[in-house]
Amino acid sequence: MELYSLTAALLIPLGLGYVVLRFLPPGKNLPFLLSLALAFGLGTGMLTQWMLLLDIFSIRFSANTINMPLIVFLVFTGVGVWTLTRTRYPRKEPLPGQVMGTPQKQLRFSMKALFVVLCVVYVVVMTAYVFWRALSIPIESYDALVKISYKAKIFFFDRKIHLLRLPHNYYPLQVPLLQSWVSFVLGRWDDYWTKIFFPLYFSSYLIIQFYFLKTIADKYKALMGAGLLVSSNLFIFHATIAYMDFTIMYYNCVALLLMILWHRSETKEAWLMTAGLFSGMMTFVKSEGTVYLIIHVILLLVLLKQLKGVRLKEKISHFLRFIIPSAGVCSIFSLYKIIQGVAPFGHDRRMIWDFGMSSITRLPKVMAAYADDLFLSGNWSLLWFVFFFLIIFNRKKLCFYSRWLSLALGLFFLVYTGLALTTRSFAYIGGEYTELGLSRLILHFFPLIIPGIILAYDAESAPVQESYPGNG
Amino acid sequence: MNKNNLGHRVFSLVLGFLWIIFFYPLFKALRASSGQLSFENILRSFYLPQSNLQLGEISGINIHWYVYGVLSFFLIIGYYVKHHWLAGRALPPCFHPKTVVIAFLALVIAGQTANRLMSFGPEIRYYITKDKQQRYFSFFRGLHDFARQCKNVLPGAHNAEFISDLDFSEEVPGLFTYWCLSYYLYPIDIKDIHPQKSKDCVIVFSGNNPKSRLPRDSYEKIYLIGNQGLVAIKKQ
Repeated sequence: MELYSLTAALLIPLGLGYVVLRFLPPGKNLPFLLSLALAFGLGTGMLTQWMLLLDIFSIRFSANTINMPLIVFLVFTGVGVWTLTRTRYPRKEPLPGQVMGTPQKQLRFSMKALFVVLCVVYVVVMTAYVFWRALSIPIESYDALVKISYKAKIFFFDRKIHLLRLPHNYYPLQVPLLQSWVSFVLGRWDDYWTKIFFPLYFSSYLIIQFYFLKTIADKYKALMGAGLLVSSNLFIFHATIAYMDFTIMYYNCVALLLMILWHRSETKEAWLMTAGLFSGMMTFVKSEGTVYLIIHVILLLVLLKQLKGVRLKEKISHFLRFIIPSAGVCSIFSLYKIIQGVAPFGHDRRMIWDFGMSSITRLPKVMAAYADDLFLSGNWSLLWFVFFFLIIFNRKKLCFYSRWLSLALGLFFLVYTGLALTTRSFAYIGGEYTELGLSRLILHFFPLIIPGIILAYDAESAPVQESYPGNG
Repeated sequence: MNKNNLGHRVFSLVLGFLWIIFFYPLFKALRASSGQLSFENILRSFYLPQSNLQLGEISGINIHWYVYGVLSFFLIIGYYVKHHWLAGRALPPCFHPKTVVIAFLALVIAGQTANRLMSFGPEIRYYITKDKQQRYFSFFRGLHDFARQCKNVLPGAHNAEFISDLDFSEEVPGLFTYWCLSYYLYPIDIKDIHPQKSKDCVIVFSGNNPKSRLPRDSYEKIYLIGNQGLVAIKKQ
């Protein structure tokens, strides 16, 4: 019974995201599974922003106060979407870069068929395991209990956020709010069902990555990408525990993949606005999200610079289409914290400035910690090695997006190296607690190496976007 | 022979020399312990369940070092063949460095997956036979059960004074236990989330002779939980 009510309730965030996608041009005729996957990320983000808004207006949380207005909204907008779909849009439209209507070759029993079967079975088994483990083992790890689920329990029983009294009150609230929302739907606190979002984010990311890879390579490589992704032990493990790292990884990487789709698409603005929404929602998952948003802005500037034959005015307009939704969503929680009198990083010991001439001696330790984690841990199999090898091996033939993804990864590492050299977070990035912290930080951007590997492997045939579609 | 090709040939010899210096001790150590070496041991090294995702070791050396050793050996041989025997012409596709690297990746993933699937079975069997309370017990021992008994005695929201012999300056077990109890006891609040409300009960956890730990106050009821715990409801 609980499964039915929860499944029905999950239609609310899915519906919210779907409505937004349908009103934005890229969503009008996306593949259904991709629409659902994107809608899930957008919808859960919107749901938690809505809960934050309710608290700002001192409206107590309950299943009715949260869900009823959203259901009414969905009913009205649903009619609008249905009308629009019936009257305006053609049925099929390719994703940016995807070739439609090519005849599908009959798949014979061959190495390719065997490869497809193996990949599908592998991904399905791993996905089933993720769902089983997430829903069979209670919330048990320290951070999950202390920093996330304890807050969620307070929201559920007290029916409000009293930010000042919360432990780690400077932390963003998306994951605790989602967990409390599940409990409102169930009508009781449940240590198992409140983890349902993590395997759903896992599935959603797999689908988005698959469709993304299909636009830059063929479906076999897209499938291989899914297989490579689930071969990472840490990726699988984090999809089954209630940490925030998996969720921030989801928003971070989806936003960057959407930025590439925007750059390659002909209906640019909508992809960019969707990417902006994902970037903004990322800042409500974990404090690191705000720093990642700055990285996204830098990467967007690189993409804009690469657009040839586009006037500055138009580039500024593109920039605004990203920055308004992302900074808009980001500012809601920042303002909320300021109003409540909570410092941006609270009493986070890791962010205490710790820089002197001797700090430079930390650099070899940080580099050794990176190397140890990337190449000698059980987290990522050989994926990082393969990525670096292909990038170096094909360095002269790399397409723009390969270089852009490498730049993105470089910026993430640069941020953490900078933090390790200048703050006490060194303890987690090369210092005594490296084992506890570093892998989780790398997880935030790890999935980007999968398109990186696919693009670098196919360097000769990878998409080269040297011109502005329609103007080149 | 052109100058460029000679450079490649010299470079491949240098690479081979470096490989021997770097990886030879590794394989020498492996040879010394070959008695303990088995396919199963190698396979198990690729995935150790419950190990914070560390890799296994063979002769005290991380299994990935061996993989890199063999992989770089093949890459150097490919480079040598290309520039010595094929005079710079392209290698056949199956000997292409990209193919070799991807093949090794596939092998490592296969080893890891086989091992992972072998560990899934016992894990699934272990949990599937246990009810929810037993699953909590396997992680938190008596903590969850203590919180459950407290909540049976004190249904609903309460503000509790918490007394314990645990050392909260130590992260484990003191602080972790305290946080776990804070979480599992809620809506019984022991972390002062509601400072405006007066404390209406006392919870003693892990305290010898728990009754003697009660502050001087008048109590409506006192419930003992095990040997070292109690819940006392204050008279209003």
